[in-house]
Amino acid sequence: MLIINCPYCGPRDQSEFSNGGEAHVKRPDGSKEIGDREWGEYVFIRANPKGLFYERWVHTHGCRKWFNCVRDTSTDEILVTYRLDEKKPNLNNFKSVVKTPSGEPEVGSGNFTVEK
Amino acid sequence: MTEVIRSDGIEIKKKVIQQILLRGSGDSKFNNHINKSLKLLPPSDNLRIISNDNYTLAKMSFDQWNLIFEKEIEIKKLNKILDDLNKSPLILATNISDSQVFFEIQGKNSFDILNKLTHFDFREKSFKKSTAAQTLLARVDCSIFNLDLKLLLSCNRSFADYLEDRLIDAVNY
Amino acid sequence: MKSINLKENQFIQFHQKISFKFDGVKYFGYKGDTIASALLRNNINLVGRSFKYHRPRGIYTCGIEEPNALVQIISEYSEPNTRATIKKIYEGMEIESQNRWPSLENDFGSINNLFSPIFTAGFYYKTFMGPHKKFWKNLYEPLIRRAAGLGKPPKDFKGISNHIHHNVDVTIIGGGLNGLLAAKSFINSNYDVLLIEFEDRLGGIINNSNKISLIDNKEPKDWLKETIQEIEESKNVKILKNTLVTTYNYINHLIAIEDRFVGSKPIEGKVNSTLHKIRTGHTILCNGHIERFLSFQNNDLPGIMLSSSFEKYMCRYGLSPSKEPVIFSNNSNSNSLVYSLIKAGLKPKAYIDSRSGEEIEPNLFDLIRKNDVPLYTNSQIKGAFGNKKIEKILVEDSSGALNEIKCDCLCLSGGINPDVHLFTQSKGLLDWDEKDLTYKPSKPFQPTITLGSASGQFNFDNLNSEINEKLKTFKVKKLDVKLELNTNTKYNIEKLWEVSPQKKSLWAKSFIDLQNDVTTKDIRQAITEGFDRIEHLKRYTTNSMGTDQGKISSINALGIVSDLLDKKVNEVGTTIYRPPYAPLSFSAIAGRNCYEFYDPERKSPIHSWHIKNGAIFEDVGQWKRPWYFQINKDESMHDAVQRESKNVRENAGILDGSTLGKIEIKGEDALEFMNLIYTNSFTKMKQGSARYALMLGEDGMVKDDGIICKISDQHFIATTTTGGAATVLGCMEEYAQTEWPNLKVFMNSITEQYATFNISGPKTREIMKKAFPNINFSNEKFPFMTFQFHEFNGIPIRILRASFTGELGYEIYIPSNSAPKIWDNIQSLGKEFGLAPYGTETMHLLRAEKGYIIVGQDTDGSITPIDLGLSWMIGKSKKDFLGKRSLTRSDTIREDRKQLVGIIPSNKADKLEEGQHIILDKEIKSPVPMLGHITSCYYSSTLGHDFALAVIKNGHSMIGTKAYASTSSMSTTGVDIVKPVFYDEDNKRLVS
Repeated sequence: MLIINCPYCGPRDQSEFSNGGEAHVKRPDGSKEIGDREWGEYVFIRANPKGLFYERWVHTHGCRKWFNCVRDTSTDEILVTYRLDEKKPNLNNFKSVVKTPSGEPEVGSGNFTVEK
Repeated sequence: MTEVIRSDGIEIKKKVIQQILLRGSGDSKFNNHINKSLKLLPPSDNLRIISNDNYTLAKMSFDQWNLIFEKEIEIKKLNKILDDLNKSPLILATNISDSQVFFEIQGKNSFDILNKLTHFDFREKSFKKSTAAQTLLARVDCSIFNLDLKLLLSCNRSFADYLEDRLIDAVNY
Repeated sequence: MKSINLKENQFIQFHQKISFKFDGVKYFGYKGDTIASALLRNNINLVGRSFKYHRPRGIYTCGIEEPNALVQIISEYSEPNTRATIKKIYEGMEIESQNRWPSLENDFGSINNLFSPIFTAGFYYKTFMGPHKKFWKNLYEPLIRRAAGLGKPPKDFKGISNHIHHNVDVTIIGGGLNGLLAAKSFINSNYDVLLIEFEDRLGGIINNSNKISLIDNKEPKDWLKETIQEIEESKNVKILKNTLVTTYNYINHLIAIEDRFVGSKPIEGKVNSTLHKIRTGHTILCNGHIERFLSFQNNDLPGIMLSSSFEKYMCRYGLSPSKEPVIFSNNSNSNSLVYSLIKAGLKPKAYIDSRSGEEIEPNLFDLIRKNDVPLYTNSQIKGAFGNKKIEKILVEDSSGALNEIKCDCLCLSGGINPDVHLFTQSKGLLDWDEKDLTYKPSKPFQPTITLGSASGQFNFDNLNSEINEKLKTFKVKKLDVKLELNTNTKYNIEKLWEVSPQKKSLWAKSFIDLQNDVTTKDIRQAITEGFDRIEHLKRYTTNSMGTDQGKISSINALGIVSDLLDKKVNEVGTTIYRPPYAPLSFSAIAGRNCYEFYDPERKSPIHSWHIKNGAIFEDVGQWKRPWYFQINKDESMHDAVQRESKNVRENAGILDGSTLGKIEIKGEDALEFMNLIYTNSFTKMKQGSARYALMLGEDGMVKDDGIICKISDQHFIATTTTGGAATVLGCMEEYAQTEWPNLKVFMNSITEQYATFNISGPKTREIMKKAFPNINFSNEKFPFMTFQFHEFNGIPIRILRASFTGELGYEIYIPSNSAPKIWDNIQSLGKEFGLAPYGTETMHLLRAEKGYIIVGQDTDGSITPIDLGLSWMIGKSKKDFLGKRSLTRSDTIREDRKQLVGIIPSNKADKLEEGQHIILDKEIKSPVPMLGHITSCYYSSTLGHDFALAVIKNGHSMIGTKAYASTSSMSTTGVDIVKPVFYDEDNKRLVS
């Protein structure tokens, strides 16, 4: 049961939010020619990395506004939330050793109990 | 206005209150237009509530305000306000007086009882007076207005019976 | 085992007798007793039969970690598998032992013990495989189900649970010495603190043992009383007793269960358990330690218990379960039991320690010598023996000789472990301490602090420094508590996990998990078979998988495994500790969110009229919608629907359509926005006109439909389906906020603001003229698919001329609060024209006769507008809209896509059913290629036969041909594939 810091309402329970998948995925301009592959990737393909991830959330049971965040998918820690009109933070600012496709964080994955 | 329940340290009443849902950018053009119509400058801080004798205006989000008429006014007057506000192409003012039902809650045990239905943090340090919030309470989307002497809780009218039953249940169990 | 009462005890009320029944026999206990302490007082130690082998079992501990003494309370408020060591008795309580037949003394299941050599590890995976597949379903599974489980759930459960949410800054888990000191530090600070204690009184080790003699120069019980009073009087520290924290989630979210009727019978109609959901800024774990046992032959006999548990019965419950127990230990924690026995005027029958004389503390030596207690050092117990209870033990002494000691009670201590369950649930990491031979909390993941024995402090000398150091960040006052101890020893332990049996035998059992009957031999066997990873080993042997989670034994298993694999214990690791810490009932988890509260019920503004007028409701999402109206109790649904639909086609019908979504869209760029969201083009649309529109997903599939009313290029009102109301608004907001924030447009939901009356039928115009006399409803002044704003008695209303039934019809939008009156008015004015209400079933039937689709019924997220024959709704000149590019994907331009068609039975008398497959061949011979299926199907009294809508491959080109519909009895019905419209194809009635 995470606490998510809505940029407009402040920190609230996860139950008030809905996840919106990968962030910063731009919709191709429909008025121009788009190849099948490029369009197919926009509609069906999203990244799913282990480690730091740019993600969208919407405050469904609150202000109903969308915002972005950086979440470490290996520990579920939400490192920062930011508004749609704010610049996306540089991932190098955050300390995460996990590099997809494998690797474990030092602590917080819940996959092991004894300090390595 | 009807009384829903009165018990040790809590009193809940149900009312229908006139309300207008305002959408706009919140810039100076928007503020001036509102001020001209209502003689009230909209709050700029998110979740802040300001009021005068006639109106209470709560900023629910960066582009949404709820205008509440605690004192009932004639439908003709309400429609005139709506038309005035909608004259600006930058504003959408929707009458939601019939959409919602309000519960007025008072008493020293209010927050304890409401915390049987919601996770929301009602403590003074987290939810100050004259602020508003939108959250989930008993599985229903609600708006909560923390006014000086009471708490106003609103929900969509189709959920009102269920919410009323849940509030009574929370007092009794 | 002969017990003795210690009447100076301050917690048990010896003047208040309580009677209870155990297995049908009446006994007496005292107020404050648990079932276990009351049974021990009555010298009853046989309380159950073990899970697999049905071995006789007794009371092993005095707390939550109890593996054996699980009983059933005969009551409508109780759950099975109640721990006798926790549950306090009340007058008249009826208790039964579990897992035995016909009786506890003579249990038929003990025959399992005879067959035990085959019930070894992995037994379940190796057996019950044949001789034929059917044997599992028909023989083995029913038998195993009958034998499985320990207790039985009550037939009629009356328990009431509720939930309470907390938001605090600091939560202290455990109200023992450290918990109380931490709570004391926070008094009058700015922090909101919650102190949670599982027992019905605070104190922990102060109440449960004789370890401490003075605190700040006061008697422990006086210091306790003062401290508790100070905390209770504070404004910012709240105490919750009888509350067990079961779960520690991320982020600092705790679940705790409170028993509201401790020591008394639950009162009907009152909440008997509360689930606390706590969001805390910091968690301070002061939940202490758990003692572990030792493994040797027959270490499960009734009469064997943990030494600190025996001490707890003495100090906390005023009862010595035996007058002269034997003590077997490998560490110094059991010293205080020796002290307690002697203080009470009793003494151990023998003290057996696996450590050498040099490692044993001098003051223990003194105590033992002074009181003539037989002492065995460097010694081990080879086995315990007796018939259904312990009668004697075999001790191998330092010289290797075997000594037989007769005894009625054996107290074990294999060491102590910090209770790390909650700490690891919080995703914190553990570290193996090689000196203290246990896992201690090491790196936390969340804002978690551990204090006292929970953090691995087994001596009291760091009490002040630890609290002051760890609470530094809170800037609270520092502590300086002076403790004087009765047994002044530093914790000392020598490694001993199991004792090898004296004789090798197929039936010699040395248990490593008491609840699931797992022996140390099973562990060895599992490793031999290759299950040497601890998670595999756990599941293969079921070690620590019982309701006690192996609290007194799982570390022992890790020790044994590390020795067998010759690996460090750290390398072996542990299994993942999973919540809940102790069994949590579903009724507590559900709280009040059950029965009529399970899901919110949404009602339209006209709801009470529907109820009064015979509506039978159906659930549409959370809404209650009239499904059909019964004119009398005997009218069947079929008859009602046929009556209603006939009436709409001949006279007029009225439907409450308030549940359908309505959205108001306004802004400078509203037109551009609407063109992007829907497939249609709204650019050339006239003001005041309405258009049926489709909304697609980006994959090109139909997502929702509705009617769009254009007030102006900057102002629109859209309708949606009932189920799609929130989704469509959500989708609009998503694109407006995230994709096109440059567009100046806003949208508000007005679904609840207006009630919608859908009135249709040939006589509608007359009814509308009567109801709204000031409005001109002529075809010229009010054409089809236009809308107008009017005022009715001062109330602003909107009327749209549209219909979903195919008859002349109107949709009237009225502010909800004024709607019931206007509905009543229309009902009475319409009577002379035959106006009658109709429900959703009739609505479905009538629209299907016209071939109108219902999103979600005829579409399933895989149907494009072209599949539906609705290409004309796509604005061809539009540059872009949601899903446009997807309409030209290789998959969406396939010729053989499923397309919408009509289906009628070739023989008009035949019946059709929703969901039937459409196939080409009359005979069913698998494999049968499926062309498609029937999505909607009804009987039409207008047509006189069944008809249906279906989606089938190449549907458009198959119109005019014949096919078959498969039935559930594996036969087929001949069908004609026709155009998906069955009535008034030219729409004459609509535009009349």
